[in-house]
Amino acid sequence: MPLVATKARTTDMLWNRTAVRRACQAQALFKLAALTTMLFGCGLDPTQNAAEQDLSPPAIEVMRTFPVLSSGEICGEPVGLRIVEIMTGDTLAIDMDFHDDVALAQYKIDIHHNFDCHSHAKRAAEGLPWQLVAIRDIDDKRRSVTEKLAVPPQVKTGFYHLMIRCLDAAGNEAPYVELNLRLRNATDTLPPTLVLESPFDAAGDTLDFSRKDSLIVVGQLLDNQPLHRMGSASKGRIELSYRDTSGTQYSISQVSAGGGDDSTGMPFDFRVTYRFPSFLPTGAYTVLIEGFDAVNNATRLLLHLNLTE
Amino acid sequence: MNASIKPLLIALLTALFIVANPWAEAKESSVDEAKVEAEVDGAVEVEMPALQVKAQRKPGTGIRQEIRLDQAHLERNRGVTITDALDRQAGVATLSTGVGIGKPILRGLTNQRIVTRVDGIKQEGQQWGSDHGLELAPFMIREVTLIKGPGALRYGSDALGGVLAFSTQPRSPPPGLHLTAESGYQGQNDLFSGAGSIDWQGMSHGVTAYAGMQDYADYAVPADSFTYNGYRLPLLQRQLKNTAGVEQQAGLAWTSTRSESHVETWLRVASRLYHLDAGLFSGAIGAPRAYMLQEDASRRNIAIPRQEVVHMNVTINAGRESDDWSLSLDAGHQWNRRGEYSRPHLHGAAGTSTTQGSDPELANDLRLHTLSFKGEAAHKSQGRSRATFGLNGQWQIHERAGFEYLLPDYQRSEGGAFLLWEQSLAAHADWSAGLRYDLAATETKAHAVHKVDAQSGESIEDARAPATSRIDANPSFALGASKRWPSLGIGSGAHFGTSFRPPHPSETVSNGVHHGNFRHEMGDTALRSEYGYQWDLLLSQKLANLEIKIEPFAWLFKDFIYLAPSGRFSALPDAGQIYQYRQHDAIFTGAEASFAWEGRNLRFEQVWEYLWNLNLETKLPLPFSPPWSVLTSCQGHWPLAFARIPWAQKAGLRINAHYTATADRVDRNEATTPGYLEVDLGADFMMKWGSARPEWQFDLKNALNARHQNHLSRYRPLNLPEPGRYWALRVMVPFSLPSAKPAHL
Repeated sequence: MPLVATKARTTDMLWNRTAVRRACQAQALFKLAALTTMLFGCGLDPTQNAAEQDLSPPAIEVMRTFPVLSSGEICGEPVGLRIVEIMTGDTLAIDMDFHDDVALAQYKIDIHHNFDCHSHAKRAAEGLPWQLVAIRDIDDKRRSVTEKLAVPPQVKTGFYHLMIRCLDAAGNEAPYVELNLRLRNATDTLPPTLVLESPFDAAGDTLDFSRKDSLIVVGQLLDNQPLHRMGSASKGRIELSYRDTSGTQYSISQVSAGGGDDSTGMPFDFRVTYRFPSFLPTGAYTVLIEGFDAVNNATRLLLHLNLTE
Repeated sequence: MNASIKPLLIALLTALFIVANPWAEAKESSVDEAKVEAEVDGAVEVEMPALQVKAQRKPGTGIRQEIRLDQAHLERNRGVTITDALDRQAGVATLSTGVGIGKPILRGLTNQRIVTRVDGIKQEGQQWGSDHGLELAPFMIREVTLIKGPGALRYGSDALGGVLAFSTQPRSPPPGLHLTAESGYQGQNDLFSGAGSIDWQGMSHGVTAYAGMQDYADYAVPADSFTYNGYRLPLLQRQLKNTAGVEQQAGLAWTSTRSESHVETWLRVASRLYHLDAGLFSGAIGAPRAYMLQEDASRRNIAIPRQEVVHMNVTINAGRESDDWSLSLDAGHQWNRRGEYSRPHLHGAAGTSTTQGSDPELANDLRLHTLSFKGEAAHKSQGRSRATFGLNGQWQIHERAGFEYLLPDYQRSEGGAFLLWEQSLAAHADWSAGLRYDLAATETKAHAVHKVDAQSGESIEDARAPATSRIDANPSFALGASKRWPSLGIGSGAHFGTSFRPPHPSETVSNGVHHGNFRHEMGDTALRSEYGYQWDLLLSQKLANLEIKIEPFAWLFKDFIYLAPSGRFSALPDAGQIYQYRQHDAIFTGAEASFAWEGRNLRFEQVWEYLWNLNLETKLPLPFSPPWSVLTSCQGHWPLAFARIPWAQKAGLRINAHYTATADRVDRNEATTPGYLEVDLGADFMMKWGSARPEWQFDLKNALNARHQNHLSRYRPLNLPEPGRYWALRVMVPFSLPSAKPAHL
């Protein structure tokens, strides 16, 4: 302890003797640091230059569409006035207004299918979907544009996304506008008929079902048009899924018609075997059986199951 | 949180310090001299005790500030990723993709502008984008060395922002067998982790083996919905769907050391395997839509879109050190693979053909082989000066597959040589100077995507990237000086250096929609190497228990390469604007300031960091720039000596308050992010149980349950909030069987 005390005294004395000199040294160092920061950091005023920049994005307004916008349900979710119902072979017209405070540059219309609800859980439908990318140059601060888009007659029907994007000359991006198309086939608007043989659905009654058993779904899909034509990728199909009471959806399987060279007028006989996974709790489930014809018109059947041990 | 509360809380914590100070004065306060040490060559090291690892010994630090973080520090501050433990350091931030994926940012620079080294070998795979982390599990990192600022002279190109050197080698253990088992749980993403290691240390040989994994579920957020582009989207059960993941890692190392009359030799051979399988939030792939966010089969499942990351390496570290000479060699081979899985039509690739025979859901399959070596020879002269000569080289082969195109196949060879002179002058002053020359040769293959026209059914060839060949030659130099006034406890250092980085193929020949951010990114073959002129200062003062440190820096980059909006749309479906790589001059400047007070049982620390950058062409800040922040932390550890509870050894408490300011200096099309205060609480407890010393660690993260967004998160553009309040528990059981023979290392 005395040694420590001596050391402390020595330090104190040293401090007293050279206090002024040291303070100056320390001050000089801190000044140097401040100077460096000022030299490089404060020599330029960012606000002055940023004010001259065009940083505000352009805006997109959809003034009118033909056919007119409607509301409905897509992929189980209610959608407001953002759906256009249209037939293949028809022309979709959109009146749009683009504006920017400095100068517009381009707009882009992008149509792609949404057959699987972008759910990442199911494979996309077979067949040839409609796909369109249109990029147009626009200038000035405000432009009103009417796009007329002809729907090809042979494309797959179902839900599509229509995205409208816009850029100004400086590269600022407008918030995009997303519309939904419900495309129906002009020559075939009738959905297929789904006949279920097993399990027998007793008029909406709930079926008690043991998880030890396999669910065997057997039935027939019939349509006024061929479910599969030779050389065509478009096929009728069955999709099976189920939901628990909270609405969580699980995919089971998807089976497609076809196999023969030409199945004109022939019904599609299907058979799917499924075993419920062991981690699922027992209780009520709703099995959804969906039948699609070759142009994607759909028929749905519901089965109510009570899953038991 | 109310804005007026934040400064109040900061003031409260500061007041806590003031109250704590006289309270601690009564105790015999002393600074652990081992912790802060000014070395002869001028590098001020913040060093934890007993950490000298022979195979990692460096001949000299070249007047660069090195911060060394030991295993104990890493364990105390550990999160899900290794970068979580680092971002408490001044000047370090994390670029995250939700939870489980994080990349370090040093003074605003990341990816290819910082060098990450593991066991002496530069970790590759960083050029594949920011939505994957470092291929390193936190449990096996025994030491981290952080160098802020340019390290190009010694570590080659890419070390513009700094160097992060990780070591998997355990601290020099006494001879015997040492076992460690640990397990943990984290509530916010239902994370379970388990790991174990075996270290055997003999007279001159040692073997280390470790393995571990962590399995986490979809992560929870304190919100039922989020708003994107005017749409209100649900977050069912307050979780981000498909963010679960499984991370596995294992390693094996053999070390041999020999010490004979002032000559030490060492050899270490190590191998490491890493595997990550992680989901990507479904709403983050393209425009999020309500029905994409519906629950899937389980909280733990990893569905598409997902990523798979594999890293395998073999490294050799060898060296010989005598009184006059030291020689070291680090060599290694590593294999990196990144697989991105998604549905073709979601990525603007509808109608494109995939590689024959490959998985139709494999969007990007990137495979990289890298062979690298680094050798240094240093001659010391009477402890006053040191001359170091170094050589390094690297060969890379990159191959790609998948229905998306991001990067072509390429080959790259790099080599460099440097000479570094360090000298100690009288009166605690040192100076150093170094020169370096580098050559890099890169060859990329042409790439075309074959499309089937949706309407006509015809096949169209869409050329995406030309074949290129380039050679980049770059000289660089560094100059440093340091001066200390030991009686005043003042240390200072200044460093000026040039740095460089030749453009990577991802910047010259990329041309496609980048997975995750949905931007069409396009390279430019005319890009030149970027150069940095970097000035760093360090000032520190130690007064009894108090240490103050200020580190200002000012960097000018010529031809800084960045992604700029082109004002043109991509012709690829569902893709937005084309972002093209461009280069212009840019300035980075700022400072870190910290003060720490340490008593016998208490430690208080406050760290301020500020960064300001400017693109001199656009007069706008650069994207993903961290806002200023201040971290206030207080921790105490107390030995427990209760006669009736002999198993209770030590207990500790921690509180951290991290205030991050509003990020309002943003680039074009980048949103501002409001500031927030995040408070973390923690406690630990060490037991004595036979010869084992189990240590329990409990943390309460985001204790105020503040709903906030992280400006540096990949989920920020989607307006997704960061995790709310959650807790974590970890237990670690070290166990040793000492050798009967005396230590002879």
